[in-house]
Amino acid sequence: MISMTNVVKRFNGNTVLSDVSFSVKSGEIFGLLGPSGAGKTTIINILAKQLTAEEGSHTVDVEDFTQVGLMLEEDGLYARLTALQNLNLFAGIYGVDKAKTEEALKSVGLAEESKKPVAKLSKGMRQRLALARAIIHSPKVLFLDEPTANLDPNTARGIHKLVFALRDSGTTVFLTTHNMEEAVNLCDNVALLHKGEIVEYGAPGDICQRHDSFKTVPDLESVFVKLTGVVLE
Amino acid sequence: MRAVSAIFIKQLNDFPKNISVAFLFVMYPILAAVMSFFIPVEEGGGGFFTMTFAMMFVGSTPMISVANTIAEDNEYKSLRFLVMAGVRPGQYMLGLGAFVMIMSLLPLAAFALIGGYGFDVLAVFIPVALLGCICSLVLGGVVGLFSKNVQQCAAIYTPLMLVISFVPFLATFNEGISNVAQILFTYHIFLIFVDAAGATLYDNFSLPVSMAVIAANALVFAVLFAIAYKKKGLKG
Repeated sequence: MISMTNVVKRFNGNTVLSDVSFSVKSGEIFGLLGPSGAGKTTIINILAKQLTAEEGSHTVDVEDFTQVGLMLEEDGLYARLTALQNLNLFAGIYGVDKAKTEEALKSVGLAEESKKPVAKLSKGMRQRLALARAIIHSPKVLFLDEPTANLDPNTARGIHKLVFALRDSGTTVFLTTHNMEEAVNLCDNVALLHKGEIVEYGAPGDICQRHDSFKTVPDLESVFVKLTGVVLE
Repeated sequence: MRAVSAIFIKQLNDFPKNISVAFLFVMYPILAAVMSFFIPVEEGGGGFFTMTFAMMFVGSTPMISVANTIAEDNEYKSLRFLVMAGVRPGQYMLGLGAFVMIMSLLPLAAFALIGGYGFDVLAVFIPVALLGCICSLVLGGVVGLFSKNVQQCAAIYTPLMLVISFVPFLATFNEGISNVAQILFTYHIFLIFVDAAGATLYDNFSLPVSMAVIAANALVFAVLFAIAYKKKGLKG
């Protein structure tokens, strides 16, 4: 469904991704883990055709790129428009029934904020609105860049439920996070990224078993520290 | 068509909230009304100020509206999400351009009322003004494409607006400036307005020459737009 083979990306001569390869099966939740600056967003941007790689190949197996949903750190929302108007714009573009916009707002817990201008929403609310926009057209593939960063634990749990529901309805979810606990709870498979290289890849439980890193629950974070020497914030 | 109408509706929703741009659509008709009321000018067919401000409106407002919207959509990465949703650059420009053109009809109607134009004048005034609006919005597209953000956009369009809108006005007082103004589409739009109102500001007015200069301006802007689009693209 999604794959990258030997991808290399450089910015001004600096290699930010070196020989990155992985594949994501259809209908799974895949997590790309690593600290800030590891290259997670660069990978999402390459897969979403926002950046081009210098070497290697990559595919996102969809008939048409409008079947992809995207939520990035820069949300691209129209600040003067209301939450509902922002979603209605994309509903109009995708040809989705307007009733779905209210459903999408409800699913991210923003039904009561629908008439508020985006400029007056908190950062967490904007993030949830960006997620609602990404799923409004029921995409086959969903890219989420740090979907729960800046969110309180309750809201983050709500987002997790939504991601599970999307996976169960057949959507392939590709997300980045530096929250190892989130990755263990949420992802079917993960890749650990450090300084532009994939240092581990597989199911969270299997990775932890390989590195003999089980506490009471699989401890992916200690695997990462062991492999990279980097402590996550 | 779906994407074009979605962009059009987005602009419609945004317009009343975007005070700085909305203000440009009301400022020129208000100035024309106030100036015409307080300073009646015989020369120019009794509608000198109306024609002057109409020319200024045509030269600056569509350009600023389009440039500002593109620069803002670029700066806040909104354009990226539109493109990802399958909106083609042509559809984006069409939705935006159609909105600006339709909104421009309201101030133009106000100018016609303030100037008290009859049908014969209107038959020239409206098509020529709309032609000027098209030139202006294509130029706005060029400015928007070359701007990284709204601030840079304003730094480009402000001097452009002064040249396009004020030089033809100043040309009525100074022959040297008038010679320079000959190459501007707004200057010739102004001459056509004045001629349609039955007045003569310059003895050497020629409608074919004025139309040719406007067409040449439109061609230059279209080429600049193509270059800007090829270099920068509309992808956010």
